Amino acid sequence: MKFWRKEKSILYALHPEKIPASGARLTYTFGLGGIAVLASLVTLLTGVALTFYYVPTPTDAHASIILIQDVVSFGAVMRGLHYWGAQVMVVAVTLHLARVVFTGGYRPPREFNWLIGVALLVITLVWDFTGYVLRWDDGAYWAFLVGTNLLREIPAYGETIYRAIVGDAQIGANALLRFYGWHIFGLTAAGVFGIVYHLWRLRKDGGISRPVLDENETREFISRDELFFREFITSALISAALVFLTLIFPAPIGTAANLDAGVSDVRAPWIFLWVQNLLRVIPPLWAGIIAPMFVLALIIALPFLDRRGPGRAIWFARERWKPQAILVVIAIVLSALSVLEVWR
Amino acid sequence: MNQNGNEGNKGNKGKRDFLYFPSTWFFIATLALFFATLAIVWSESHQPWREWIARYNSQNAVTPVPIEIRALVPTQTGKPELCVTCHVGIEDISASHPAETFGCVVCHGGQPRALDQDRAHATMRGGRNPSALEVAAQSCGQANCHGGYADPDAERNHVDRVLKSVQATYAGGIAHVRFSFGAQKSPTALFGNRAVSDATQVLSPQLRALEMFPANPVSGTLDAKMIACLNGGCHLWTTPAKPQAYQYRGSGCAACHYVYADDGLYRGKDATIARDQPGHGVAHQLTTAIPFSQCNHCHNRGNYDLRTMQFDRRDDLPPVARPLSAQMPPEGRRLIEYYQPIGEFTKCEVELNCVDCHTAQEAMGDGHIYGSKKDAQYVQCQTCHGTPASKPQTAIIKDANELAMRQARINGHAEFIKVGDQVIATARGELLWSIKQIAPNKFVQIDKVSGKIYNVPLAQGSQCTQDGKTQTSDYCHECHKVVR
Amino acid sequence: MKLTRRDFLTNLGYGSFLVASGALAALFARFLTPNIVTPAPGPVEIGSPDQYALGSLTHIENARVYLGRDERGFYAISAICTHLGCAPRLDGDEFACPCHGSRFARDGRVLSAPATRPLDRVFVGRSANGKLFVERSRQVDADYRLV
Repeated sequence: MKFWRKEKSILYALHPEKIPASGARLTYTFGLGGIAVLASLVTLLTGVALTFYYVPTPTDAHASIILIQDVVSFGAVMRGLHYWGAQVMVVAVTLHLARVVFTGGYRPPREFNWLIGVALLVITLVWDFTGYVLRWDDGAYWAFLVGTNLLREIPAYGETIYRAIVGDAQIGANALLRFYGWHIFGLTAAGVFGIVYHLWRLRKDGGISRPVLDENETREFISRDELFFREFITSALISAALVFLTLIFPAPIGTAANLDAGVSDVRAPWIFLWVQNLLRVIPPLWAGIIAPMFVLALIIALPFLDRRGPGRAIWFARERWKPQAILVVIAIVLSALSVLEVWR
Repeated sequence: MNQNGNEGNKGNKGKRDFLYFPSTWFFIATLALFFATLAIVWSESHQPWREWIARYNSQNAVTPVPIEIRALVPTQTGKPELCVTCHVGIEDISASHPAETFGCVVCHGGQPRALDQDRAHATMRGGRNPSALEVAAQSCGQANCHGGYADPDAERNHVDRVLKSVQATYAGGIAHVRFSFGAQKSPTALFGNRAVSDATQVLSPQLRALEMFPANPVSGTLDAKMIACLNGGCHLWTTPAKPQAYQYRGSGCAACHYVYADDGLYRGKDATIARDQPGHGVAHQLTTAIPFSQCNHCHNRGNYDLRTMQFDRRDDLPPVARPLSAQMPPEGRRLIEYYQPIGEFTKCEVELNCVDCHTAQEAMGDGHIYGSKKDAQYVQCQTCHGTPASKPQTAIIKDANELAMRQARINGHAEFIKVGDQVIATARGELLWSIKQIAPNKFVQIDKVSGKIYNVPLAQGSQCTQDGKTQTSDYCHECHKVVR
Repeated sequence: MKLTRRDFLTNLGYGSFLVASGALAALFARFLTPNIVTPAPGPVEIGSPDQYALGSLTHIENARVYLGRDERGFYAISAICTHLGCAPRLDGDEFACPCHGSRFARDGRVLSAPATRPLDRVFVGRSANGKLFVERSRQVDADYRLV
């Protein structure tokens, strides 16, 4: 009896028998979706480890992170990988989205998967923000305060929404516990389900998008073995990179949140710096709720602005200039706002 | 990878099977993973706290302590503190504050569960010195310690009293300089380093309140010069701006109670405190056995020149490199090399220590505001020696827990007095526990620093012709000065 | 079969991968092992000596001991079963453990299994203010008495 049968292993089963070589080209996808999945796995695994030490109460949260960071053996590495895994995930997901826009990957029949993808972006960002809150250090506390108070700006239902999310009339033990619950369970469940659904849907939609073939062209394929090989190499290299990133730049943690000491240096997590900047100049409802929602709506709408001409699976195809131009404008505006916020 | 991608299945790299990767890329990727793991293990075994313990082991010829995280669980709080992991071997701050009872955080603040230097120290009270006057009320003076008692006159409210003492307010100095230059009409003190007030003023030289000395005076004015002078380190709120040998000291309570060597070097066992960098106490220890050298770090180091508004440092002091011993100059050289050349000193002034005569209330204040050192400092020669007409005032120790007994215990000479002993009582009712009557005409004194016993001669029955009513200690120096 | 350079490098790759995976697994296990643990409880003050009559055996809940007093003085019997750590209670003149039915005599001797070791004796002391205290972390032998 053979103990090991490759065709029965789960890794084998998860990969298609062959995929078109054009879709697997490095310069086509840059492996960004795969990197995002790997980063989420690293974050998930280290996150499980961190739960064994993290205490989600206002009195102990910060101290327990200090304990992980300084006292627990390999705790700094574990937390660092969690932090950097999350940052790489945000970056990879964003770039992946950009790649799909610039190559027209959202074209039918993949437009539904585009929506799942955007949902995953939102989940990733909220995941990131809830994790930031769990630090309960000075910066995180005030960002949390501001972020949740924004909910109150929503007309009519603001207070109700605030209480549904925060679980109290102001932030405190209840809020921290809820964000912990969302972070480690709610969002994790949604995220993992979303990733699996996204990948399944990708297979159902016929794999990675590719150009329409000319009649005399034959399609080249790479085998399952080759695909797995590439995944392995990428995973190993990215993992090693994450480790060195962690060792060189330890995950940040400030001093414990202190309500009495007042605000020292409040900085939103870098992904929301642009919101922080907007909040300085326009009313909170517009800056904190309407503007992000508008950007999100634009992103969701991108595929539907496509004129549906030729140009599928080609980088920067002119026929699809509208969605690309809008994404570039969004990217420039948000980056500029963020950079200005850092420089002020 | 790119290369592989282009070649796809056509490759000449041998047959690639599932989980079988004959390829240079495989070698590179796994090697990267291997080195990443190695880097993790390396960084874990080179954490700074490990290096500090290793340095402790190499600096102290003792049995090496194991390199591991140490948690001190003070009985007061029951919460583990990891400070001693790096600060292994640090001295207990004093016998009355054993670390195993109080720990570190109750005074120092900080983050006791961090092992990273910056993180652990970020929230410390007063930086290195929790007794700095800005924070003393939260550390030394916290409730049930040396302050915070409801009765403002409570003897244990040390921190509150110190804040009002002339050593902290510098009221006399400010008033007299401003008066001399015509900036105020009388030498009565108006300003202190900080605004203070006293609701229970009782004696005539005491003041009801002092205003804060102008914090932002117009530049070039007298007050601006004075602020610069004050910030240069002539009172308890500051330390010397540019300390040199013989000037090292802390601020706040530590200015007196935390002994610095004349060279400012640390001689304790904590490996994290640099031993070749001046500006550290001689050991991490508080004391009430304060040697004269500690007082001299402020009081005998030079002269304040009123005309130039500058401090002229003495240049006749022996170089510290000689070396002087940690706390005391060599026996017999104290008067010649150490004391102000211009002054006249009696024998007890060059043999005893300052704290043997000057009381806690003189040095730390009595809770009331004085406008000048002259009003605050009141102990005279006759306090202990009496006058030709009378013996010194005495009082009987009644209770094992009264102030004099506690002072003796904290000083480390509890055995010197017991309940029922007669000790000297000052004009303002303080007991000098270190001078007791052992026979009708015989008094002995224990030196609070060295523990030596001295005989205290009485004026009564001697050839002294002083008039105790009108002549103060200055007159005693006429006959009793020591010839240099 | 001749070992080619490619085979050698490949095998080295597998070796590196195995070492790295093994080390990461060990690292995870080490991560889970705490470096500081909750300290053993210190002395617990249990009131003045005259609160306890001669011949009495009193349950002190916050210290998890029974404080006894006989002609020779005070002693404390640990109220922690020597079988698996449950809490035996005084039942008539015997200690009965509710978890697995061990029984101990009034002096802590084992009367019936599954416990095989008598109940521990714990240090009783008198502090400077005259109050009694027990210290769980200090074990004493059965003869110990605070006079």
